[in-house]
Amino acid sequence: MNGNVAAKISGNRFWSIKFIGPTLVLIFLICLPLFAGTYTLHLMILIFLYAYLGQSWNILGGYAGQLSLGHGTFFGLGAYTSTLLFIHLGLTPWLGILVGAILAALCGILISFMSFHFGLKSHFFALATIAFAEIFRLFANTIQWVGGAQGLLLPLKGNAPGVFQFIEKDPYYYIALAMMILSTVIVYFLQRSRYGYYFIAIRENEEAAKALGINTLRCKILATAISAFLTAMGGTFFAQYVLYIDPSGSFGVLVSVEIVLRTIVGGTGTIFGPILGSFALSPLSELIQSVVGVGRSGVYMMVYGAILMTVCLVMPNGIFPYLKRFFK
Amino acid sequence: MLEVRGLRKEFGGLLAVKDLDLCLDEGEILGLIGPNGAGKTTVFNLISGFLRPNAGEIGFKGDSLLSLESHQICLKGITRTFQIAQPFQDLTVLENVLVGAFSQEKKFRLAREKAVKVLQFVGLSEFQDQEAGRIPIASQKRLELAKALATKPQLLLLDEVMAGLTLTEISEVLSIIKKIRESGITLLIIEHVMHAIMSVSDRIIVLHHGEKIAEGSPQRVAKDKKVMDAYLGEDFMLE
Repeated sequence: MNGNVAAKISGNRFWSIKFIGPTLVLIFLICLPLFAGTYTLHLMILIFLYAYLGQSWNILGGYAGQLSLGHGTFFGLGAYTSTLLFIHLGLTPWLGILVGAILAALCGILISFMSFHFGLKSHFFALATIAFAEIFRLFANTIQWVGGAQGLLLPLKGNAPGVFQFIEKDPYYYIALAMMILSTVIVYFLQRSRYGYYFIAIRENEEAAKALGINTLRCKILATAISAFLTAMGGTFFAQYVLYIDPSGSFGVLVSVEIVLRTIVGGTGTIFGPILGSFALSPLSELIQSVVGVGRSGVYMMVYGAILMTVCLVMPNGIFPYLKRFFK
Repeated sequence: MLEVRGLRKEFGGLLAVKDLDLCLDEGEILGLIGPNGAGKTTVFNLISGFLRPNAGEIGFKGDSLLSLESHQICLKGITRTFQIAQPFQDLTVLENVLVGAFSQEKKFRLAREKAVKVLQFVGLSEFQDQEAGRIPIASQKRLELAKALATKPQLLLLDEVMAGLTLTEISEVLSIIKKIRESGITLLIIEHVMHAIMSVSDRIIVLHHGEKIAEGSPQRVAKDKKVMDAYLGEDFMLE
């Protein structure tokens, strides 16, 4: 919203719906574990995680405008790296998470350099990202040392905070919540930074951006690296929460699509888009599953897809822009 | 300041620019005119690095531009505008100019101050906080100019900034161009609005089918028979 951005630019903090609303919601979320049941907490953890992943994707896909449908690559790299380091070297996932993130960032740099140096744009870049995700999935599926098709079970250590394992859901809840907030804060500062504006300029009009001295290749690679780094950390969290990872669940297209879907529905390139999208779709997904049953997975997908199509038709820019216009 | 020698650009079988020599001294305003399809925008694209020539040399203050990418050429001091306005639609007018200002100033606050000044210079301050995609076309063209100016160019390539403007708007833009020259920026201008470009240019180069057919002061070029033939009798004599 112009007034909001203008106020941010001029450095004024002003208290309004925009700040009070989210703050109240935040307070509510912090207090939630005190009275919520295990299943609710589980649902919330997934919502937070997917909001975090969506926000990480948002940096590359929403702000820099480069559609990646293969973020499973980074998610899986994070999950597998920290898990393998833990299983074989006993390295605590608190450090493994960084190794995985760095590895994913390097992978992201490689993928984006190869794609953008040769001028791949939009749909073709999306295909390239899908290809990479698939390559990793096949690797993980075939190589026994990384678990093969059966995947990897993390050694159960009971309640062991030192190795990122907890018996209760509460710690996972707060970590996931913190990650969601952290990613949103990162996007907030990115939005009003030089590189943030560069990303948006590239998204809006890459040629015009170049004409103003922006090294668009470097920016796109940077966006990919940051996005990959953060996404991978989400992968490690997932591994530590579920304590089991497998190729399809980590590298598969489904993960990539679920990440993107929530952001698109919520509103790409907006700061609250991924969060709203996740809050909207995750419960929806659970609801459909309980009504229709995942066993007949075809029906589940059809209903899910139909709802998504409706959302796209009614609110093509996503929920957040729709709400913004509503409140203007 | 700018030296172009033997510039040549082919698109498949089509020769868009042929053996073009062009010289520009610091502080000059050089007008580039010619019928549609003469290759004028192609020349801009070649100078600013958006296209690579098939042959020829482009030198800027002694350095060759041929090995540079378009964004590097901008950082070297040459900024171009686009014939069709290319605003960053989702950003405000101020933010559009801010993007240009960032090329010279890394700090947000300082870059923003520069952007505000540029908007005042071109007379777009009233639109400062509006979405760039929603302002009138004439203002979007002005915004093109503002974005380019924010990069603090030494040489500014203007591509038909006056197309589609009313007479009042044209004279406004002309006075801005004069202010730009006074601030020390060299200008290479493509224009179809004859009375405007003739009145503001020090020198004119006429292109036709990719070749230079005339060069000289506006008065001399206006009387050149070859030029008149090229425009097929179009009357563009200096008023």
